[in-house]
Amino acid sequence: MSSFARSVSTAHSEMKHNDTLQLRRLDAGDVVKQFDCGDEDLNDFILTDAPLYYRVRLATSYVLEDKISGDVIGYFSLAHDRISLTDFPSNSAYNRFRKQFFAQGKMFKSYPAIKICRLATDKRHRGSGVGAMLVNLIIASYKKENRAGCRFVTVDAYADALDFYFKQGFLPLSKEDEGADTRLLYFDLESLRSTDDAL
Amino acid sequence: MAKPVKETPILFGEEARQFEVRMLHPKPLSPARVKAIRRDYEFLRKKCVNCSF
Repeated sequence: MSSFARSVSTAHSEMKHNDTLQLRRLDAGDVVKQFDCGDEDLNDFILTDAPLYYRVRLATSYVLEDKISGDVIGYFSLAHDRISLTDFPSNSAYNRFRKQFFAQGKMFKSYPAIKICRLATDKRHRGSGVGAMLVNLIIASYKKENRAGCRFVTVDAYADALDFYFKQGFLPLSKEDEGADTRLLYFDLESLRSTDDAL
Repeated sequence: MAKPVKETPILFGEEARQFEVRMLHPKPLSPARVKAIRRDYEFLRKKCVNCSF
């Protein structure tokens, strides 16, 4: 078993016996009193900004917490997104491509997505696999429940979190931001298509 | 105030073409990865209080 799989397994064994665990949406008046993931920006967001983002409908945040003590183990925030493609130049190569793959002549240029605006785990739980669990929840929720059209999960990942997202199956969207502080990644929900029954 | 999240860029030219090819042929996840996704989903969904996603 890989170390990654072991850490996820550890998170499960620790949490499945925890009956006081809950995942809660942060509403406009809700406050998180304490959270420290080691990153000032991610801390600031959940401690200060998340209810404001919810009120003005820019992002909705969810906290995984102990409902008795109020300790926040991890959180994520979501917003609707899309992946857009510009029109190709009308060259013969592209026309051949379209004729081959889009026989009906219908070509969508924007594809709906859900963006993980922020995702963080408290330092006390780092390395336990909580972050992977939260990502898996998001992926499966949008794949299985399909409440609105959504093809991709996107994230603007910190450079030091890229390996984490690559292990989850995310891919770089573009080469333009290679080597930058953050990088746009995406996960194609259709990569689960042949396994619908499993989800 | 936390920094704003970067906008998802528009793809164009060769990158857009390659992206569409990948869309048409998504790489299936491994059975182990699918199992982990299902396990975490089933576990955490039971912990949801007022989740709207």
